[in-house]
Amino acid sequence: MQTEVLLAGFGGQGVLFMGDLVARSAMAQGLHVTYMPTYGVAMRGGTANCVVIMSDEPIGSPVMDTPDIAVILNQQSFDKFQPLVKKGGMIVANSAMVDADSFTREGDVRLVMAPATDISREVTGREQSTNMAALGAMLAADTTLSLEIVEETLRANLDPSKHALLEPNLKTIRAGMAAVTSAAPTS
Amino acid sequence: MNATAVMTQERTGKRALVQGNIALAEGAVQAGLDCYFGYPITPQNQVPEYLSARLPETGGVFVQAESELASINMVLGAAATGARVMTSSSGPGISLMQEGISFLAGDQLPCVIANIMRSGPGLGGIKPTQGDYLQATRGGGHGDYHTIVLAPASAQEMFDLTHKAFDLADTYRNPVLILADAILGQMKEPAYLEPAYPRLEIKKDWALTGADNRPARNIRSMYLEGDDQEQLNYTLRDKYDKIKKEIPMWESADTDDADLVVVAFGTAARIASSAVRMARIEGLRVGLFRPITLFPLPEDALRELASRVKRLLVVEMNLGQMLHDVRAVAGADVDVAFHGRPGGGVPTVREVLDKIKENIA
Amino acid sequence: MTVKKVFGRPESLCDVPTLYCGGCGHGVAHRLTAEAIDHFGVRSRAVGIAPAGCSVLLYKYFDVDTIESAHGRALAVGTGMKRANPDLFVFSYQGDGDLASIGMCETIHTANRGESITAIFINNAVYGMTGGQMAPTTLPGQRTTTTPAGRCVEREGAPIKMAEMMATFDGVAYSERVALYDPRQIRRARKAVFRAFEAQLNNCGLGFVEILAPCVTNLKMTPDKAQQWVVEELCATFPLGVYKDALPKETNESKPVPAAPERAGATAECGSVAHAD
Repeated sequence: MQTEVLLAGFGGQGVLFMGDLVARSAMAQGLHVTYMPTYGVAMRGGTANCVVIMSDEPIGSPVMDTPDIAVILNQQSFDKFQPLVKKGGMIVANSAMVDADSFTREGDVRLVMAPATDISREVTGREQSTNMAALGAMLAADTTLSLEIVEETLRANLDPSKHALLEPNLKTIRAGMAAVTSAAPTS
Repeated sequence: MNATAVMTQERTGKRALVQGNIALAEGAVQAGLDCYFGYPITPQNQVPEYLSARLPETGGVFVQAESELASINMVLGAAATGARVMTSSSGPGISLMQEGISFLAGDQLPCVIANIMRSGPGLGGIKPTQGDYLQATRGGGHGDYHTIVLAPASAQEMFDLTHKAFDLADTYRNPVLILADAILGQMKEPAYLEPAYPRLEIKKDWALTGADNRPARNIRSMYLEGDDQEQLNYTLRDKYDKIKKEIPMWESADTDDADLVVVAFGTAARIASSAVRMARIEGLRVGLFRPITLFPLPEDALRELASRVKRLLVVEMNLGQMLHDVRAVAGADVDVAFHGRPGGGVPTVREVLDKIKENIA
Repeated sequence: MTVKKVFGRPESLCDVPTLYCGGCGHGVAHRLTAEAIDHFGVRSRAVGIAPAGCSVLLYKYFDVDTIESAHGRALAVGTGMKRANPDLFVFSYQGDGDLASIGMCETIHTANRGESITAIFINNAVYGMTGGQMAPTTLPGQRTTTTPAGRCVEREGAPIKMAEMMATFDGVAYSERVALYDPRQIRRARKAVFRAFEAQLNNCGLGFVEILAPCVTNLKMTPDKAQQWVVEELCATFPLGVYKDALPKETNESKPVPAAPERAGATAECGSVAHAD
């Protein structure tokens, strides 16, 4: 079983950090994993995305083909990537920045909306943890990774200089999860 | 030798999720890297960035050179003193280094050069490619020479093959090129960052260390008198023949009963392996042959394979470079099909699968 | 009766005739460099870097470890050597095309990094080995095989003044321009080479000596006329003198520099390595 996860947003939303965390968590869970970031000519601005492939057998192509799951933090990325998602796949979108009316894959892709930016602001007072809220939403919607492993991995890998952010981030992940679990399932 | 003997030894310890460029750099450090000289260029910048912090910890030397031309000549100078030396670059930078690589080959100096390929020609782009296959395997600069060319296909091999590259360089007194691409450089994968075997210690009784109680030594590639130059080239040829006999590495999968075998290296082999797996699920008898050494190409293994399959399919991230070598080795009796996309594009698993189906009928 | 030897071949030079053209200056410059190697006792840890150019055969003349560099890259090669093994004494020996044209980038950046290397730079205002083409140091109006009507400053630019330029870099410890046209100048040149050695031995940065010398063959002059050309033409564009001396007054390696025997000047005329046996 192989799960291909695309994570996308605009530069500065922490998409690459989120991807790295997903990849490390998958490794900690004993899965094979590849993590492919976008890299470019500019350090900031524009869209950023990365692909994490998790599998219980060795991974062939590390290149994004058709994602099973797309975690999308802004409208521009949503418009760009929703056509690529595999039939039967899922999009986890940041409803604070993505207009549900722009969804065109009704019927063959499951859409999970979570107000990631709002959750981040509510829990931490800042928008910087939008990525963690979205990750929480993904964990609620797809059970490949367990919350415990993700928490453990974040704890083990967060830069010591940022340890003050550990608890707020963990809280935001849980709040993102709760937002999806409590909401009525969307189609 | 078959890759499985070399690359997939039982490993213990902890794996780390590591970027290919970092795995490559750490592989060099653990091979006893004394000096690194380099110049920034995407997509290999993590190599100099990492080493600029790592080498001071090991007592090594890091210098950011003013150009790739300077880098490769610093490599030459340091290699001449007997040090373990490397540089890394991509596309335009590797082109600029060709003068120095030719000198290193003519001087018979060991060093390691990593090319994290980006699409060309010209400034091209920073997307992955395998468009430098011919440049790498033919020598690349002026003169009749070869570098040993290793093609990793994972973060683990970025580490292992770079570690091994230093041993090969010292063993044969020859530059070794690591030919990877932007995907392998940028991608993170779990890898053991400890070598599977200790480095070789090879006595360098040719190094320039000062004529202290011994006759003065000279390192050069210019021979003006008599047939000295021709003799040097025969010496190099004999060395390359030895290398061809002694170091071919490859990996093969599902080839025993295969009607069609896909031949691909590096990232293209990863993509092809996904397609081969899907083809197998559909009941197609397809295998994969992955050269790990590109110079020398594992010709005997490939020839043996060609003798028992109906058709080969070469997949590359270029418009057909290794293809010509595979055709030459396979001979006229075997069909060799091709699928590739040039710099800027990457073949998809679906494309390769379609090509497999088209050719297996 | 005891016989005291007052003049001989420096130990660091091989006992072979050079292939240089009579009167060209390489012979003297080699000798001065070899004398410095002997004087400072660095032969056992010296590595010489030969350029592409007439002095590419350096290894035939110097009895020290040597390496041949690609055209212009000598100081990059030297950087690699010195960084890999700081105990080595590294000197380059380069012409004007090598150091100031194709290798200018490597020259400048090696100077700027302050590598403790000694660079001996032979400026003869022309490409010698390839047949007398224009060099970066060719004089305005000077006829060469690629400036048949004479170098036109508007078209080809003015001669590049390396000793002055090198003096502007913080990483350069010593920069001087000398000539070899008479014994007095040769003695000065000898001192300059010694000073450039001291710069390295004291780890102060790059030691640079620009030596004006005539390429008699491409000037199509007799050696004496060529020397006159150096005095009247070359020195007028490239003033002799110390452009930078950032060495401590009393350096660690300072020893009284023995006066060069007057006869050393004789080598300027024969152009080959002189030794009295």
